[in-house]
Amino acid sequence: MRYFLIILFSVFSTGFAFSQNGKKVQFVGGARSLNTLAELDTASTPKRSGGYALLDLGIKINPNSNTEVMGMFRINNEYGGFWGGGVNIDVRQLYVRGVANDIFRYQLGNIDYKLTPYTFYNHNQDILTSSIGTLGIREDVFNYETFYSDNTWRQQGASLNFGLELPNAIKDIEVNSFISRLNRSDFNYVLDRFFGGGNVVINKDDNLEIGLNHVSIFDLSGTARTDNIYNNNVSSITFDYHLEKNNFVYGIDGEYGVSSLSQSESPEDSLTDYFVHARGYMNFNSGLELCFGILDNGADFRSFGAQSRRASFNQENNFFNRYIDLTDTTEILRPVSLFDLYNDPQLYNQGISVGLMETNPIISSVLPYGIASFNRQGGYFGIKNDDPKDLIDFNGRVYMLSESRGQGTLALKSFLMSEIVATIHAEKIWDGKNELNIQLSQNHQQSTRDGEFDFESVDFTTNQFNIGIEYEVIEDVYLMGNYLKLNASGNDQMPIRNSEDEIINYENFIVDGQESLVSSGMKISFSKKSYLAIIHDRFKYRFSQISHEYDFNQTSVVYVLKF
Amino acid sequence: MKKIIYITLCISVIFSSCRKPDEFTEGPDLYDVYGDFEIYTPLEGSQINVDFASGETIYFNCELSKVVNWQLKITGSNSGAEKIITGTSKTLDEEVALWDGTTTSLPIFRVENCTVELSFLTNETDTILSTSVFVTSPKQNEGFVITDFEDGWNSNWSTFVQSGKSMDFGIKLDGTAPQLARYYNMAGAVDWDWLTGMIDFNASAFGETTMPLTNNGDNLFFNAFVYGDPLYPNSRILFRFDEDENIDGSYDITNEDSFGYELIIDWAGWRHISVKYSDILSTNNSSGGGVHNPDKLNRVSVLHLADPNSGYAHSAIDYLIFTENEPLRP
Repeated sequence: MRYFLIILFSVFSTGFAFSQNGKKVQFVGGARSLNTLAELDTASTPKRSGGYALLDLGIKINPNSNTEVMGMFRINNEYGGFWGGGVNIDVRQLYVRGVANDIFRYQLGNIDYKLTPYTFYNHNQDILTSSIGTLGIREDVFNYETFYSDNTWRQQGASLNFGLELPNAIKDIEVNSFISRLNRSDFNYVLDRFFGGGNVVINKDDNLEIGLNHVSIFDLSGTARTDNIYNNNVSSITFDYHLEKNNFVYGIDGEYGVSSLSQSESPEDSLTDYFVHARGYMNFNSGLELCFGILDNGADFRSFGAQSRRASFNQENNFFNRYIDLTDTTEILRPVSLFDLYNDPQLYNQGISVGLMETNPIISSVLPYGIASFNRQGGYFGIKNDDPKDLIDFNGRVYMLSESRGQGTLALKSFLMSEIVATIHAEKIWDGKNELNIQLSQNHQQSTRDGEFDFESVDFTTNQFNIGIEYEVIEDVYLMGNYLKLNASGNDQMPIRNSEDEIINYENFIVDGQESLVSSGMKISFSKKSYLAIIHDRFKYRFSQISHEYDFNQTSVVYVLKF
Repeated sequence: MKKIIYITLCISVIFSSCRKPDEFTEGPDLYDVYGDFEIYTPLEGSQINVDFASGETIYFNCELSKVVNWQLKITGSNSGAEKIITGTSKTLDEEVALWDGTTTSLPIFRVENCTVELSFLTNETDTILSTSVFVTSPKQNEGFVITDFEDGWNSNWSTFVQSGKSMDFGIKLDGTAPQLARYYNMAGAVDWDWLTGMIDFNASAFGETTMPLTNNGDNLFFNAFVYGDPLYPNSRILFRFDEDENIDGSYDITNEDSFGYELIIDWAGWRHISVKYSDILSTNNSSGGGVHNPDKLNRVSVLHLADPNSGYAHSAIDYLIFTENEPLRP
């Protein structure tokens, strides 16, 4: 046999921890308690208090060295509940995973999965500035609640992965596949809908990697009394070719693919398009990384596995969802703000959403669906530094994009987005014992369009700025602070879409305002996985063109334990 | 050399894939949304006369300079019937401005001339365009008509009216009927009982023991026009459906089903009500098993009710009709 197959289980099972310590049963999980006293100055009942204590208790059972069963239960006790009145018990996670025949790695039940940025990927479109300090604690909470880790989406289904090594031909091949159900049939007009796909990643050698990827959202015919079958298929090729010189690595990588969207009973509304994204990069041994790239995502490119947003802005807040103008007595809905995105994990989407989710141009206008946003073409460049001395790290990127198809006019919108995150570990400057971490991040977005008529012109600018500080006063006791500010001003013609995602009208969107948050607190770390924090937030909403202005102050006590 | 080929190949594929901007746009033209408002062509009907009874329809044409919210109001000159059609477009045509003879608010249209007015829900103009159309024959509705009272009193019906004050039960011909000319009036004051009066429409009026209806209650809708008097908003109407399940020619309350649909008449004027037969609840604890068997319907009764302490009550009914597949579209 010319090609000797070697199963690469040991390579691909880095995420597993099967009975490595010989235990048949392990307990994992976490506990959290959050108590908040909040005041919104223009609510009919301005002060509210609430909170909860929850325990996530997971039991990992390893019946043999190749199988793991995991069940995690959540016991949530809302403050205010009496005896068992406020207690909820849910199943938070449930899966079985293992290795079959020492070849196939499988997982059934909850799977956290991703493929490529254009096929199946959980882009972060809204929290655009990175955080330490008090906002870092908020992010920690909602990332845990939403399972947003490493840009994966949590699915209910199955995955199967394996690898092959063919020493005389290519270095190795990885094969990954998954299937999940997005919705169930109502036995009438709603069919069972599935999302499945996979990829084959071929590592020719240490320098060249090529991937073939395909995902499909599809209805299963016969599961309801309709033959109107939905399909969203995306196929792509990924590549990464790089070379290594004396002190740096340089290369080119990217993804190229096509998408189609159709419903069998309305073939005239089908959409097909392609995208291309390529990037050249240079990584120096000093930690400096440079890249420049181009992308062209067609106006009809649809890939809901990669375009599903984390948060939809077509929803109500869960906390202080209504408030009143001080000069008025009518209660109105409080719009979802950037501050709410930090505070409320329930605003986040837990899975793939078929159809375009509503965006908020104040928060994200240049790439509202992440790098997989449709109708965008242009280039970008980036610079990143991972300081080997760990003194200053930074990561910056500038996008210069435009539409490829005008909306209501042949004049095209141009987009500029710059983002930078810089983290300073200041105690390294004076060799201090106590940590002093300062993080500055900024995101600037600009949309412009010139046209023959005034109503064609667009000039819309947003800025997000976030500075976070953590100072270790005494061992394991930190003072924290954050200042977060979001400015938006200008006008845009925002498309209004119907249920088929077709543009039917435009909203003349004009704003000139800001949100700002001053947050301070103290954290006591008991270990790397547990801490107690007290946080005070002062938030101001000043987008009077959208809704009434208000001030929101809250004090929270947070206890987090992971085990 | 191989490396150069790889890189050249990748770069050439990438750059050849980048497209030129599309030469067409997505969505409605911005000029159509934000440009100046002008009327390019006047409002016109697709025909002068329309015979809805034979299945004809009429549509209206008008071309505008931009997309606006508009409203077409068609008013019967004799009946006062109104049909409202609204839309958002820059062109009125067969797709968006089609009239099939239905009415938006009762009464329903008759043989009459109708005025048609087109108004625009925009601050840019208060212009109202108008035209007219003559209805040579109104829309005919498919279904089983229990009665529209146009043929007068049927001797197979039965009635009971309390001996209260100012009792006024009977067929009226006073020009206010929502359908054709006649309707049934129910009014009076009874201070000792909720029931002021009732009328039974028996299957025998059609020469049958049961009414000729489908056996599928999920697919059958009962419809009626009901009048609410704004001066006396204390009426209730109970529609009762008695089934003759053993087909012996009569309804037995002890072992056959009776279903009831009660309305609190808290509106003013005529209103179309519709209910799916299988959604109507039992009035006798499902004595016949509680299964809806509209093909065994022996009698439809209409009971006029009012709180004995509320004084004079007034309501009226017209055009009792069963339709299949969907509620009546009057």
